[in-house]
Amino acid sequence: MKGLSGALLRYRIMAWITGVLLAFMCVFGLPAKYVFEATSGGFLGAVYSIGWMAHGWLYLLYVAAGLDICFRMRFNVLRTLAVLLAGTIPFASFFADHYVAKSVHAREAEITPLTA
Amino acid sequence: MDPTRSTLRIVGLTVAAIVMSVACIALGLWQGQRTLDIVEAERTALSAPIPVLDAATVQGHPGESIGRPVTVQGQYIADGQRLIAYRSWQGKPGVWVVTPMAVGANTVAVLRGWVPSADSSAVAVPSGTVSVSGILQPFDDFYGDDVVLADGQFAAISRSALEQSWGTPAVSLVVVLTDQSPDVTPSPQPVEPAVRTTNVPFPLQNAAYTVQWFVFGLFVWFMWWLWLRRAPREDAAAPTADSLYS
Repeated sequence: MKGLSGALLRYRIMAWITGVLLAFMCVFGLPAKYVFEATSGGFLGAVYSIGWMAHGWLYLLYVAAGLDICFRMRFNVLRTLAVLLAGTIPFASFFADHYVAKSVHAREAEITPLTA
Repeated sequence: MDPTRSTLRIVGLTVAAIVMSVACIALGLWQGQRTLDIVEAERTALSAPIPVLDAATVQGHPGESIGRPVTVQGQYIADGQRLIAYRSWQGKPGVWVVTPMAVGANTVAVLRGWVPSADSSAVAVPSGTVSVSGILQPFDDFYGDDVVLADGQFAAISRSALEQSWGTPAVSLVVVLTDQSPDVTPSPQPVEPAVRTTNVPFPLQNAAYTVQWFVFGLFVWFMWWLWLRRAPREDAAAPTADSLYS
């Protein structure tokens, strides 16, 4: 299972970046647009648009890292889909990150005594 | 893992990849169409006339107001009328007629049109309340202030020179008359607006999503390829069950 911890690190970094950005966009961005209507132009409008565009591209990287770790962990299809979709639901990626990390650590604990 | 199951998985994965990439292309086309629709809707909104003071004020105007159709309702101020010298229409020499209009407390410069000469009967200013529709155009400010000729005609539609001669600030764009009611004959020949614009804010976010969905569609096949390449090797190496927690 060489490379598993590297894959986990990559996944966790992407989960946190997309998770924090998505949470920010939902907690501050959406009210700014739909409640305060402050994003129809200017600096806030640019930040708002760039925020969502960035989330799209970061999510692509999240999917890459997520698929990698799910393949390596040999998760089944539903589990894999759940991990991938967590990147599109606000705050869900933090739970997915926790779950994946726990699984990987359990797997590593299982393997280490065998190989040591 | 036996070969039939492995083949089944590859077929399943390929079908899934086809479905996902087709979905990505469909979503990309949807966002692309949305981008075009938004631009179209913005252009339609721009081409519908609005009251002049909603598009420009004495303080200034947003960029998209240039070339914008507007309606103006007010009274012409006859003694503020100025002629702009040396303007031809269909090859014939003549002058342009610029008349200030009182719209509430504001003064709007209206380019009523072309007349063949300064003593043409069409220069007579209609009295009472008139409704004008026209296109907003910038002033000819690049000529500077020194535009008043010896005979009192102007060399250009200069905002500062007109404001000086009117003694009041004017709204920051000129209305180039296209239609007037009540219609008075004879009236100056309306002139063609020089600047027409279709500049509207571009929905960059939707355009970026269009690209993003297409890239996602390609990415699906990249992942498919990675999985095919890796799957058999890891099948052989993986010592543990499919999932620890299932």
